[in-house]
Amino acid sequence: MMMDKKTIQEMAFWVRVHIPDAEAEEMAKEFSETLNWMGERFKNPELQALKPMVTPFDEPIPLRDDVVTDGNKADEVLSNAPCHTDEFFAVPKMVGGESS
Amino acid sequence: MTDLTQHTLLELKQGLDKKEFSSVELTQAYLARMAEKRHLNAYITETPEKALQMAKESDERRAKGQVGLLEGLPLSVKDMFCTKGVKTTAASKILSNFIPPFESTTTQHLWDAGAVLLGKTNTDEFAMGSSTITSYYGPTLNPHDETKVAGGSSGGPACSVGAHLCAGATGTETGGSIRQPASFCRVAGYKPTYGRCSRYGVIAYASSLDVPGVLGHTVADCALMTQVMAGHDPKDSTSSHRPVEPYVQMLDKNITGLKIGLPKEYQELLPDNWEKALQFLKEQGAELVDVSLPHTEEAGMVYYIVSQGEATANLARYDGVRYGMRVDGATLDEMYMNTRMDGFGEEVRRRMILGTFFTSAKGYYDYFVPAQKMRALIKQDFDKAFEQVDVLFSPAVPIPPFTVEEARHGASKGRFNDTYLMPSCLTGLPAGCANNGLQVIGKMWDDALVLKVLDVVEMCK
Repeated sequence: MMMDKKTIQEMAFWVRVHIPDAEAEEMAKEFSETLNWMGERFKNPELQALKPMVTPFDEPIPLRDDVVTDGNKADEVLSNAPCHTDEFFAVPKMVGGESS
Repeated sequence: MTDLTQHTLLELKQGLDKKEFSSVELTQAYLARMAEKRHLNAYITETPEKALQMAKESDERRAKGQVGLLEGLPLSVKDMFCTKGVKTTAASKILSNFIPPFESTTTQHLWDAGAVLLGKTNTDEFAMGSSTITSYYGPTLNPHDETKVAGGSSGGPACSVGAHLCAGATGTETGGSIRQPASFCRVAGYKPTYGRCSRYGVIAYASSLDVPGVLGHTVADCALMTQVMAGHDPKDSTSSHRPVEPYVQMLDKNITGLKIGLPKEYQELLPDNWEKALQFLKEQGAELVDVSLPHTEEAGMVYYIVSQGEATANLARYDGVRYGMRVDGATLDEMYMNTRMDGFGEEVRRRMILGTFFTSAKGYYDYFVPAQKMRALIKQDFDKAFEQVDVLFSPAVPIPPFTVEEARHGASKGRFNDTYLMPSCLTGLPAGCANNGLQVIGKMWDDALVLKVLDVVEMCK
């Protein structure tokens, strides 16, 4: 598969980071080679019958009881917030006028 | 004991038990040495006041006859573990002001057993790397050759043990991050079975791979710390209910009749002590059996895809809203972008971009799912090998440490850096590296046996 600059920049936007044109170009080139190499490896017929392994954990994972075990910690929750007002996290205004 | 810092964890435990010195005296000795060796950059944050307070409280408990398994022993904690009220950065600028309001389960186990926190150690940013050069706080130097790196990502923990800046250390491993720096710094490192130690409060890199573990002067030191850290935690649904075994007591030096597998794919490059080690294991009564792990070479690729895919999801939480740093912007999106551009280093940003591709509609079915299938195939390799043998034996990292400059030019991505480590990470198997650079890998939940064999391997110098 060929990777292009546009796709790299699209992925970068999805994770909310910026990547300059030249860097994206270089990354696309390098990544294309890696993807091609991987694509060849994934043609291995042994993979067909296998189930994807999502975790090495080999025990049943039970569901917890649906009960509240925590709470009333607004001060602790907000203690690391870069900006907050009363008991709310504060962010730039999204609609209607100037940013806060 | 003259210089208290020059002993193993178990020796110090004995010294404290015999009242040869107090925890306060021991802690003071380490704090003095930490100040002397600050140029090694093992610690991101030193906690001298907290350490002395904890040591004082430990001495008071001891006076009342309350003695935990790690009573009064000063440890370092990798800066990937959240520590209540103590800055926890993951070596990233984005968390450079983060003070957790909670404690990770594994470190809580250490404090409950009486241990003392000396400080938080350096790592690659979000544990992504194997040289600590991606740390926002700069690289950690190798205590045996300061022109070289300590390895990584647990470079700070490995250096803190190797330079005698603590009695033992916690580390984390996702793709070799305990065993590689342990090998570089000539200390012991142990990665327990995935699910043996809770991941609660450990800053997430790749959740299906991340394992909290330990580094120590000896395998026995590692066994004791693992024993304390392990156990079920209701806050981590992938932590096992299996009872924790008394690993230290089970180190009986007896490997007679044990079948030890030698994977041929792990013998492409061998260290000088290899032949001697094989001879030594035979003399100890073990039977050496040649085995094959045919998909070893694919492990790097699977790790690349799976770890980056999981990392991109885990790092989405750093948005400048709830915790961590913020760089303002006119709009919410601009604030996200500014914060993440300034807060994350280049390597982390790169892994997030690629990880997004692997988990997007464009890459999921062509790459992510096949990688997960390949992961299953790698597991089958181990399953087949363990039909013939009890444990596997190989070098951990068959190359010497590299310089910071070499690391910056790709040495840490080199072929032999983690080839023998990654497959056991993908499969969650217990694995450790003795302080002579030789490793043992076991079956799931065979932690006691792996530690026992490693303890014997360690005798071969």
